[in-house]
Amino acid sequence: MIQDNVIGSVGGAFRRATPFLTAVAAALVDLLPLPDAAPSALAPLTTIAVVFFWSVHRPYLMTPLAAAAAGLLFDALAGLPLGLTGLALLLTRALAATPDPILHDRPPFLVWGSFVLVAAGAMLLRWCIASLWSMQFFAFRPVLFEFGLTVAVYPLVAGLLGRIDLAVLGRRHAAGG
Amino acid sequence: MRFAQRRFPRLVEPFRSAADRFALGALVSVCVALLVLAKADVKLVSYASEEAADLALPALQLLNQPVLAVRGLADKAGKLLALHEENRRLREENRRLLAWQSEATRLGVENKALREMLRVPMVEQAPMWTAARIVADSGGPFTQTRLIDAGRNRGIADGMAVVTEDGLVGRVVQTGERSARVILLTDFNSRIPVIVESSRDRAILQGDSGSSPRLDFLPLNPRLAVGDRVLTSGDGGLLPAGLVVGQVASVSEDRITVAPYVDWARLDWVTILRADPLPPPDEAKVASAQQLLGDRR
Repeated sequence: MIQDNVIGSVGGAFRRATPFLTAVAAALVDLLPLPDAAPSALAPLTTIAVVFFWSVHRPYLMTPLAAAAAGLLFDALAGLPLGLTGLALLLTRALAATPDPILHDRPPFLVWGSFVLVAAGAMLLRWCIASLWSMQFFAFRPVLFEFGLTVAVYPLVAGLLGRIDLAVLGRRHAAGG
Repeated sequence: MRFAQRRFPRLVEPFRSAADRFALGALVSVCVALLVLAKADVKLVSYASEEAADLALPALQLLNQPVLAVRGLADKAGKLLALHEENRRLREENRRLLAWQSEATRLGVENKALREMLRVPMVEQAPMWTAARIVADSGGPFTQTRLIDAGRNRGIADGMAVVTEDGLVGRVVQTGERSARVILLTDFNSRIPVIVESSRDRAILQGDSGSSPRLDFLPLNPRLAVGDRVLTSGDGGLLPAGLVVGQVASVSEDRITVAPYVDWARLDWVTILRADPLPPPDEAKVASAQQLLGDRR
């Protein structure tokens, strides 16, 4: 009986940590070296997509602390100033998570459109802080490319996370959202 | 809290929203404070970054396996297609290396004979380089750094040059126990003292987050031209002198750029040049050798 309770508690804690764990996994994947890539090659920032998804569908599991922690981990591993991506993910979470779930169970294209706006805000914030911190203006074109790639992969990320949400946390989503 | 939420959701909701807002505000303040501390170059922030890299290293190495498998397959396919050319290139390189091996052996024998003649003992030297694999890429438009799977446990320290067979990649800027961060020479924070081989013009190679870093602080009326080789000058003791960097790519009135020789597409394994200092000479033996040379004259 006690064993069942412990296993149940551990299982419950793991399920509740799923959004944070997927954000950490996305951060690690974002940092993998691309095969056959130049030093300035860009990749999508899937961490923002993951935080947005969970903030819309499970705002009480993707807490501000979880979003900030994922961002700080990303910054530490990428060699970026600590707090840069943390602030961007906090903004993502603040814009996407609402007490009254506006986007939950909405058509996928609406959610995707919302993600475009939120991701634009988060990446613009990142660029502004990076430029201010370094006392120089970074080229904006690479940021735009990174934004484009991130928006393009959101449906794939959302589809995968929807399956994880169903399997681990037990909720079905509209496809792609 | 969960019990209360299930039974009284409408009562709990406002408290939850308030807690969320408070947490958001507190975390934003923490992030801003960390940015300020990082700018002030506080050691604690660097230490936290090093520890995070060390902790994440096993996960990164595991996640790298599929990437390496894909790269391996692509390499094999490429090599199969270029087998004949690769064979010819390797034969030429082997012939050249055998000639160098013969010269190195001759110099070793001569060195040993001279040491015996002067009665200078052989010095046991530590290995001068370490190989490491790249496990993470900073990516993004702001920094160009790489994380390698070698740290203090393998003798790596800040400031060491990182090279490949093609040339200079960058230098180590942060060292943890099991991992280290390498700043590429294309990163905007990278400044490397260099010299143009043909004209002997000295300059600073400044990265700008692009693929072609520029030459700054050149002398007035530099005599360089497109295609000239650029090497490290060793000025300031930052990096060893003579490391191949690249060649001058373009020359204009306001900007001279360099194309690094490094093949970024094949940046998998790198070599870190260790600058272990030689042990100080034994004073008595140096005096004895000097006396012997004086007698012979």
